[in-house]
Amino acid sequence: METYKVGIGPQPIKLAVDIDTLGLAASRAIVLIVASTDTGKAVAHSKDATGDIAKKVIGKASELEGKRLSVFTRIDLIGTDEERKREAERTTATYQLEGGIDGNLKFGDSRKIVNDEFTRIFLHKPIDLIA
Amino acid sequence: MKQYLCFLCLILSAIAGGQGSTVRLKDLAVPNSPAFVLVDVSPSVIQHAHVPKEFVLGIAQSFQNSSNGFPQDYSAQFTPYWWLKPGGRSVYSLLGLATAKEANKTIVKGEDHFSGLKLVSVSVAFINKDLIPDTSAVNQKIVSLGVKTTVFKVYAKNYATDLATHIDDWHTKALEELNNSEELQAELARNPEMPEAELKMKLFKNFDFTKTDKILKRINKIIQRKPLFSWDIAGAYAHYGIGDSAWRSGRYGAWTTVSSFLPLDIGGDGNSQHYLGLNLVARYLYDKYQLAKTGIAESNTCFDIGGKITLELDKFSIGVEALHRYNNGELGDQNRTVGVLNYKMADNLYLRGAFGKNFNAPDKLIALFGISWGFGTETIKLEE
Repeated sequence: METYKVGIGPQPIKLAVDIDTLGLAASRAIVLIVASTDTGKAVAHSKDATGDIAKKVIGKASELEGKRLSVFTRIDLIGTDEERKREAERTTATYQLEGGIDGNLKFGDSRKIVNDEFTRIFLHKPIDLIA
Repeated sequence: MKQYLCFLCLILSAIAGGQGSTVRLKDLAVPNSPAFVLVDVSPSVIQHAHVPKEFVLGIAQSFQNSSNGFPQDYSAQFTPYWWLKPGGRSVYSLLGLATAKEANKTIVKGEDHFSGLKLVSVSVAFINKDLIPDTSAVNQKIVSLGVKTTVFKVYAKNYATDLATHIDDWHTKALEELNNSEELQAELARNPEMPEAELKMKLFKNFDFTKTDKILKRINKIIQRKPLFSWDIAGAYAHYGIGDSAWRSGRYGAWTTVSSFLPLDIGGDGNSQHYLGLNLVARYLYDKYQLAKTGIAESNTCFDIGGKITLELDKFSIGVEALHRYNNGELGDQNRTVGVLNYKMADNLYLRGAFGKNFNAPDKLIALFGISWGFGTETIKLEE
């Protein structure tokens, strides 16, 4: 599990997500306490079908410390069988956090789940926010 | 009776298939991979290089694996624009929409008529093949390079606004579906290493796609609309390595296709499949080594020009097509003007008829009637 040091102060932590795909995409980011049973708090979402999340404050370091950030993206691919298969392989995402002790950090390697017909993709990226 | 019909279909198809040596209008259209078409290859494995590094590594690997210092059948295809501007990839750019950012949101401003120009596609092939018709059966080392692009494309005025509205709608509903699956997201956040099979089951069987699926169907229909006008061009060049040291120019070619489709559903919902279509194609090919009537290899230039006007009414189409070929500046032997009838009976199954004049054939009249079919379902697919 990748981590990001947010610290413990009142400094705002910002998140940006860049989805690299030619499909229709939508993203939603939550933070939650892993040991709890609630569904977490939604902190950001995309504003258009690029699936990108423009740089946005997701909370203060002191509020986020000890929680897990989870960014979930769903994508619908269009085109021929071959085009969709190629695009499913190519689709990636970059996640950027800043404002914490770790400064400006970029993360890649999200988990990619593709259906057998290459029409749908889900991307998931969990990052533990630590002190 | 059914057996007789099947037998009749097979006979008719065989007759139609027998016209294999005839140049067809669609053969002249701009190819997607001109580098492969120029040297008559259909590579089974094509590397789609997403970054320059992949391309360079692919070529380096092919050189490494070769026994004669030349790659063994390496083919690649890529769009340099995405190498230079990887962040620009989105569904908006794919569909040729001009956009601007307002308050961090993508706003569609209309069609980007020249969007195809920047998305020039490059195809490259390194093959070992005997393309010189001489007594020697030794393969040449062939490097073929091609480019293809859409210069200009314009759709009916509602195309961009219809797409923008539906894409926006899709995104709104997709967020709703994500919000409705908050328990699933929380479960995944707590257990990110969930086994693949279990995760697939949860995501693709339990996730509710109902709202977005309806919108995707509408987007699919809009995408299938034909452009009012489009112009595609392509070019390719092949260089031959003959023997151990000689490298010579082998073939080059250029293609262009101009199409216009006038929708016939004025006042309808814009999704009708009725069109009056006009299609003009031209192809120029130069081959330095072609077998001449004298039996020796000589240079040959071939220029084909053709056109088609068609009335498309859903599954039925009727049209007239003409094709003229010039070999080394002289009118060739494949010139015809024919009427063509098509009826789509099912996916990949067509009833076809053709009638008209083949000017240079001994028997000048053409009359064909048959059924043709194909395998595979290479259609735009948006839903499960």
